[in-house]
Amino acid sequence: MDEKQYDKQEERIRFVAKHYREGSLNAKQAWNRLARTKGIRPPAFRRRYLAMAASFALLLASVAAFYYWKANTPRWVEITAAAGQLKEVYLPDSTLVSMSGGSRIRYNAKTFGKKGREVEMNGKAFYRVTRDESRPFSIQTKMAEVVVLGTSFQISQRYASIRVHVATGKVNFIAGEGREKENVILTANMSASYAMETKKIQTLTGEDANFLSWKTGLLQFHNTPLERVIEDLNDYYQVRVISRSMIRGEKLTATFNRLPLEEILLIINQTLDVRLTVDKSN
Amino acid sequence: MGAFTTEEFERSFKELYQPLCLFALRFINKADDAEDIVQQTFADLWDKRTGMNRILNLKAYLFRSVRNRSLSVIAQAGWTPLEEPLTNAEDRSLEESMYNAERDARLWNAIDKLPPERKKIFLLSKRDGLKYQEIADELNLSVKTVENQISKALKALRETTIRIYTFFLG
Repeated sequence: MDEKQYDKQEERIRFVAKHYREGSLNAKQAWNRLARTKGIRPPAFRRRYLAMAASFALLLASVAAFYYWKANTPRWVEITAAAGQLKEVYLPDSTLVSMSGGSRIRYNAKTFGKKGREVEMNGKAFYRVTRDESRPFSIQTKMAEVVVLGTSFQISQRYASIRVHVATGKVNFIAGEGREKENVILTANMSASYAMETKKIQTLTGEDANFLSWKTGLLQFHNTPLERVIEDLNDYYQVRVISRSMIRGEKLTATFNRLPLEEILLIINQTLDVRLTVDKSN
Repeated sequence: MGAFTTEEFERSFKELYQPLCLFALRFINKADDAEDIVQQTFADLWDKRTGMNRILNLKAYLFRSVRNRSLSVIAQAGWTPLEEPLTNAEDRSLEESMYNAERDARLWNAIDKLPPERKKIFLLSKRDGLKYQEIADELNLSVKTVENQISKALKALRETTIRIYTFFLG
């Protein structure tokens, strides 16, 4: 750099320094002022960039929504008892469920035991619920809901009716749909049934000795009308027993402990002089 | 499409705003006036954009416009032009003017980036014309410190221009 150039540079520095003021000649501020007064919109490429950013944000939101949805999607645990077999399972809260053959229960593993304990069921099952008042235990069936704190009871659901039998404790039995919902509090040795047809809850007290026979193997009859005996046998052996003779108010008092059905029918037929047989037509 | 795209317009504004202001300051003595001239030049250009043919050299167009507008402002206000406007032969060609204005803009930004204390001392000397002793008294520093700071400031500023020369020659 020769002297002339050097002087020239000194002159430039002095010139710029002379006009320099802090914050002056701010191109960005000046541009904003101009863009505002002239209504100049951000150039297309930046708008495209914004659009891209927006769609990316949308993508992120949908991914988040998906994971939220996924986290809230039930993870069903389903337990099925094979036909003719008794199955006992413990739920995560150590509630014991004894299921009769062909019954099915399921619960959402993601929510079970979080706020409450909800089980859906189908068929017949006996519950011994672990007491936990902060997390009510409830059972949903097609027709009714049973809410309990800690107790043991049985629910049997058939095609168009449901019956709850309470062994110990207290349960709230809620049946029906919508406005026609009904409920009844059941305590030990009470049972209630609800039929689709009548849409009414019927409460019964201490008259069903055999509600647990499928579990205990013990069938007890005490002056029981024959129609009721047939019903209990049907229930226990999962068959259709018919009478080939007219039923004229016969009553049975007997206890059967895990006897084959044929033997029981033989005993009843001989004792009461009736002709009960298994209907094999279907 | 008119004389230029919106992108070109915005990019030119942001790149050339400082050089154009410093260019206008070669004619007019007040930074505020220079900024007004440049702002007005861009505003007019924006308003005219649709009726114009495409401008191939937007930068040259802008420098020319700023020069013309500066001169007409001086004429209208009846101001006396600065004592030696565009004294150097180099500055006479528009090409040179543009190059020098951009260099001035780099110097401006180099001053902007000086550490606060050094900037203050530098400006007291070069802008306000204070002697080293006066600055030292004013800021309660030794003359040696003032000298030191100014030489560091000048070194930083010269480096910006040296880099430009190198770039220009290389």
